[in-house]
Amino acid sequence: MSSIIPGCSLLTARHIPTAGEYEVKNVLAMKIMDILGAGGSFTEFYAMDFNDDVVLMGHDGPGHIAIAEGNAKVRPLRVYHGKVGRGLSIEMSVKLGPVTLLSIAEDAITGFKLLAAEGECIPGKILEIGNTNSRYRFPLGVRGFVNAWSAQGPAHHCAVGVGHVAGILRKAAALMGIGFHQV
Amino acid sequence: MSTERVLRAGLCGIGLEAYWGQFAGLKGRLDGYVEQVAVQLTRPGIEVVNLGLIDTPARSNAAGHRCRREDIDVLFLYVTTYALSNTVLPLVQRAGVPVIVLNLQPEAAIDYNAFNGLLDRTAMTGEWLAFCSACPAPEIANVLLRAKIPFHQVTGMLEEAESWREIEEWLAAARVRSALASARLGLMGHYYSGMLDIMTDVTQVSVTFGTHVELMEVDELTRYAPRPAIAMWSGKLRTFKRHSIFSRIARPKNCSTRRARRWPSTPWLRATIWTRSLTTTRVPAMRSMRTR
Repeated sequence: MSSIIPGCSLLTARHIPTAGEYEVKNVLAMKIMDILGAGGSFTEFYAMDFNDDVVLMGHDGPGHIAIAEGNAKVRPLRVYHGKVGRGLSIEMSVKLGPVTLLSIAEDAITGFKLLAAEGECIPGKILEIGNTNSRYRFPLGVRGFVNAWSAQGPAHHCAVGVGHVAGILRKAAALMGIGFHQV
Repeated sequence: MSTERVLRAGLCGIGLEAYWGQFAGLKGRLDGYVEQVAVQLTRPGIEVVNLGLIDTPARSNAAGHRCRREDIDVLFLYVTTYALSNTVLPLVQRAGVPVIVLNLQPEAAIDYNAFNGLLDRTAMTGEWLAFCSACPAPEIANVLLRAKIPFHQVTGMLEEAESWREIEEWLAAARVRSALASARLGLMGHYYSGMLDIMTDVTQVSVTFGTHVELMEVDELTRYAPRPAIAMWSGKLRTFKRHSIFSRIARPKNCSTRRARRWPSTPWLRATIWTRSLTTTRVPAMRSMRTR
């Protein structure tokens, strides 16, 4: 079996979210974003840009190619992230404009909680290393956002979707009887 | 989205039977409002079960049974006028689904001059009662809290964009809950050793979201999906091409002379060679979700 990232990206774009790393919570988050028509692409923090006040976020895949800005590209990589695996990866940026991050995190009282943040995907330089990569700006600024997000104790992955949907996520959490926190 | 189960939204108006004989035209007017909400809730992907105007405990009980027969996912309880809380409790207890209380007044305000010009005090009271949705809101909340039945409110006007934005969000939220409860989550492989944050109580996933979880090994998957025929390969590559994801695949820098001779000019053929020649040393753990 080789290079499953392109296939997983196609499945994800066909409303069958697929995540690597046995990421149960994140594939659920991707599914929630997909149900809302917002996409839901596998994402993690890459780096902070204090000069431009943006956070670079992405992953080696899968990418939700239905929410790509322009064409997604396939890149052969001799290593994915330096842990296991090599093969084809997806390079894409998320559509510019409003975005929402969603993570499902453990909650001591309700089992799970939804953690959400609304921001903007902004144009500018990204890392062209054959991964999904975008620049995100949040109302709290880089420092404030990264502190506040991490303080909620999510896993290090999240799902990014297009549009601002935190209001719906808050309501979905209420209907499911689980916690909700917006950064 | 197209594979998802249709959301079934229950809708009822609540009112008070004692009013109908006393205030001419009130019931017809409120029935019309309930119908108006039903029409506005209906759209592709959402089936509305309109239970009509519920105005007695007996009708409430019957409507509760119907909610169960109709398999509704969410109940919109539209407060049309003052209603007794014993008209609400049997219905929501039996329905057993999340309740959204719609406290929607027909207009922004009563037209005081026209109202006071009615002169007939009975007609005036009837007119006021059509604007009386806020009156039982605390009463309903009181009883639902004591019954430990979760509920949520939308307070506003019948034809107001802000209220309907809220209602749309509740519909989308109900769709999330319903879709996760009918989704199937496949797990294959294992965790990356040491990533403790990713490790998840899968039982709790099914408990919280109602999602069905299926575990499988990669060799089972290959048994289900035998080696694809060339025709399937070309079909899949056409799909890739349609998404344009192979449009810019680059000739690798470390490409050997032997491989370079085989390097075709068509991008998707190059992709084929790469897809076939690159092999992962280990299959990364993965999971996918499909809605049943």
